[in-house]
Amino acid sequence: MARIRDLKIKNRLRAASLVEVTIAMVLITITFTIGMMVFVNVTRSSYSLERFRADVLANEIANQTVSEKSFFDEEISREPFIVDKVISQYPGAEDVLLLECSVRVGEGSVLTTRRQLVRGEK
Amino acid sequence: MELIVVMLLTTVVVSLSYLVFDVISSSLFTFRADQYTIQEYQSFNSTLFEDVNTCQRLVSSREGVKCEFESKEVIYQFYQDYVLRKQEEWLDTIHVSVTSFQGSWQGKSVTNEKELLDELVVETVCREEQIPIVLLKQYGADQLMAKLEVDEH
Repeated sequence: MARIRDLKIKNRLRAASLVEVTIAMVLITITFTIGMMVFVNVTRSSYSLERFRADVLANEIANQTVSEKSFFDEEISREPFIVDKVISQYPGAEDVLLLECSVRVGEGSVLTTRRQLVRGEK
Repeated sequence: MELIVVMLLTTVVVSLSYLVFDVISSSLFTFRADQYTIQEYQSFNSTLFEDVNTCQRLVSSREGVKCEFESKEVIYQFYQDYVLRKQEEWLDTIHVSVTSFQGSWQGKSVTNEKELLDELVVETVCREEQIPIVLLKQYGADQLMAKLEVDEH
């Protein structure tokens, strides 16, 4: 009887138990979740077509402002974007203005901001 | 019994891993393709903006516009699937889709060659979205006087 028991013990296989596999599964799931979150964040924060359109619009509004010398604050609506044009006095120079054009979609966050120094008076 | 359960769970985990890998690799491929397209449009916009703003004269030419500098010329030719940028012996191809372009002087459309332009509108299309690129050019008094003389003659 004792010999049979010894034989059984000797032939026992070393294998992963259910608990170990479950822990491994949980760890793999956590790793994948973190990886997916990073991936989604990277793709979302990258330079998009919407941001390119916003850049083009900001350039156009800034050029138009300089060309027409329309140095005053205004909100310009160009579907689907809204451009906030802000003119402020540049510190340290009387005839230099800071032109800022921020482009956003609706009440959402700002997509792009163009800053430019221009010569003129408010 | 325990071994069978472990094997089943391992199968699930490995299948899940391959599934996630497949999803990530396909979306990464799409992401790279999108970024390449947007990068082409961005480089076209920034190069054209830089050339138009720094050149001495922006004039109309056949199939495009010409930016005249003191010591060089940069010619842009617009086509439906691409834009050619010629500078001396260099020729760049920018893969952007241009549906039309219009040069004008003081609000009036310019159709003749070698005429001065103060506004250039390039209509581009990216993923079926129209993106007009509007560029305005400001000239010094010397250029305006020279144009006045040419117009009078």
